[in-house]
Amino acid sequence: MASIPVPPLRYVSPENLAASHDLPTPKIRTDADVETWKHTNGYADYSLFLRWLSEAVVGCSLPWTNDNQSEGIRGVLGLLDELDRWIDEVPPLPTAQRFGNLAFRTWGKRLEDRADELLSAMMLNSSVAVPHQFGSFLRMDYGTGHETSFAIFLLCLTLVRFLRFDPEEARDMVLGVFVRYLRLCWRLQDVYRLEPAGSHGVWGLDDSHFLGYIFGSAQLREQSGIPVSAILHPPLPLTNLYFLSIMRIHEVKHGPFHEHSSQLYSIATGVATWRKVNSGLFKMYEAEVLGKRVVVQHLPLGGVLEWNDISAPPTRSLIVSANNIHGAAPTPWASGTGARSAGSNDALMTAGPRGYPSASIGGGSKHATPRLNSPQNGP
Amino acid sequence: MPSDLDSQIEQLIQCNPISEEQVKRLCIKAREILIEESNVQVVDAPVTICGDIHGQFFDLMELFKIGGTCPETNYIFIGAALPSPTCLVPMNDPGDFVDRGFYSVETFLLLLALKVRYPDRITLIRGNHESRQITQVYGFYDECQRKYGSSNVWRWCCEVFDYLALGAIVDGRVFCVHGGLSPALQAIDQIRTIDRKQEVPHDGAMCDLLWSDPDDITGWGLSPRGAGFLFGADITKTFAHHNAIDLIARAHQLAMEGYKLMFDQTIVTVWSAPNYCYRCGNVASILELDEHLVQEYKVFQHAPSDVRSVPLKRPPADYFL
Ligand SMILES: [Mn+2]
Repeated sequence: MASIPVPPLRYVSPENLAASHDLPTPKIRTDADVETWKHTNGYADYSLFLRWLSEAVVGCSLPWTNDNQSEGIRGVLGLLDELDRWIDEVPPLPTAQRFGNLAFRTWGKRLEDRADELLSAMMLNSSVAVPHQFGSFLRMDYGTGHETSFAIFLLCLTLVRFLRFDPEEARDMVLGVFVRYLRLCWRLQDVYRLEPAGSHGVWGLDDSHFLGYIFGSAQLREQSGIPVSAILHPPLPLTNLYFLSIMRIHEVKHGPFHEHSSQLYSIATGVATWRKVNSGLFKMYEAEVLGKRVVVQHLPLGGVLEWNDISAPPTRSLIVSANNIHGAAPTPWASGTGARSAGSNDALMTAGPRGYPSASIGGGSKHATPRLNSPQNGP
Repeated sequence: MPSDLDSQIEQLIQCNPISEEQVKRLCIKAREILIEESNVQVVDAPVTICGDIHGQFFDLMELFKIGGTCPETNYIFIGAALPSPTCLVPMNDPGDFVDRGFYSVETFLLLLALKVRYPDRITLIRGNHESRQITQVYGFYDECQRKYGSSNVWRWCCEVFDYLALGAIVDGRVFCVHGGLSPALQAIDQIRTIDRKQEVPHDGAMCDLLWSDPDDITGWGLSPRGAGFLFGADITKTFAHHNAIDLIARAHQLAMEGYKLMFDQTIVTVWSAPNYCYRCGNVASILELDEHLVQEYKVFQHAPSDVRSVPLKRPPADYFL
């Protein structure tokens, strides 16, 4: 760390956060709304964030330990632990209904009731949406839309610098927090028998998840000892999120892998390198998850995750700097995916692909945890 | 035509898709046959009633093994064979539908070919999944694209869906329908007045027949699926009494034991997709009605893995090129 890199990721100050009355709500109803979304600051931030996380874990293995976890990371892990304990406190109801145990609604009600309290314990306010991240309490299902919600939650925590914008923190987010999140979701799915939401069945990548494959393929990207086809020979060592996700499939599904997981099978037999897998998954995620109205229509958008049209002039913006932080450039993965070398893991830290200004935005890794919900900090 | 058709059936039984041109001709022929059928097909016992298949081709072969082959056995498929939305949980908008089978194309085309070859020995009833909207957003469309490289097959199949019957009645005593009852319908005869040749509507009698579920309530209830209704024992018994029927046979919901009788045996759910989605661990069943309409449920398991196809090496999606 020769110098403190300037974050390309926007910074939302406590003052600006407190001034925001734009609470996250589902904003996408039509296919045209999906297109609008793709031109918002929030979408651009999210694209960049995922790529940044992905770059940070290249070459890293699970299990991941870090004795110097930040306060923010410990906070999020603590939240997930707490939610996990609730599962013990809200056992599934004895019922003839085999799928979608009604106790999940009780668990969800508790989350909705206590969301603000949980957030304020983390010095946040409800401009960060929480309840959508763990499934639909109404439909009692779980899918990639919910997973996306959680990743957006991490993004928001990073925008406000509750989580630091540095590569070490990114590794903790992916290999610590995200893995913890997956385990919580799997337990929720198993205990409350949640159905996969809106998956393409055997024609989708996975019934419920996607990001684990992106992060996992990034972990494996720069090595050649483990070929892509290795996944066809379980049991797999749980050294990366890709293998972890595949082993989860074997845990819940029985039958020929090429049938129930045809996409993963095709990737294993037809894609030569992890680099191609990683870049392909990014494109696929953008098209099949972020670009599908039926998936993203439930996402709470707005709040910290700015819902504005980049091409329109900024109005009451949360952005600290008056500079044109959000130049209307394509999303980071739209071009040059996978073109970075191992040595430039942190390249995004210094050279934002969207023309971020290289000044302002109190960046670096040394932020004190902002107290974001205290009214006295407001303007 | 028959010998041509026979060889296509032979091919489909091997789980090999027929050519695009053959699909086109098959679909045209199927429509010619289906258009002559009434909304509620009259069927004579003995007959074997099957529930959802969900594109589980090799399990359909198991079904034929225990139920007998067509035309030797007379079949009713209440929910056809198509890739399907989840039939398990509450859902409330089209975004939650899931098409799941791996061999939906082969499964549907085989049943369709049998229908064209032996029109009086197999009855196909429309399920909520046999709709453009659902299959377009989810798996069946993907599967047609993947297997044929264009959406033509999907489009022709959708045109067939619009002609499928909405129900069947066996010897005037057993009413077969995919979902269930509708508050807009007291008499089976009323179903005959529906103009069925259309995409499944979002509400109304036709929609309800394909979407509703029996439930332990009194009267009618809102369906958590967002389409159709929940209906209780009182509704079911009144309908049975009013129409002088002994049994309503329906599909649409997973039954872990393969079938589930409710409301003093006035209604049964028949489920014919074992180990649904490769993960439910359920058994499946078919309902055999003999010439006296005596019911026998035959339970079966999913096909052993050694009878399944050799993995085909399909190129990965374009994202990875
Ligand atoms: Mn159904």
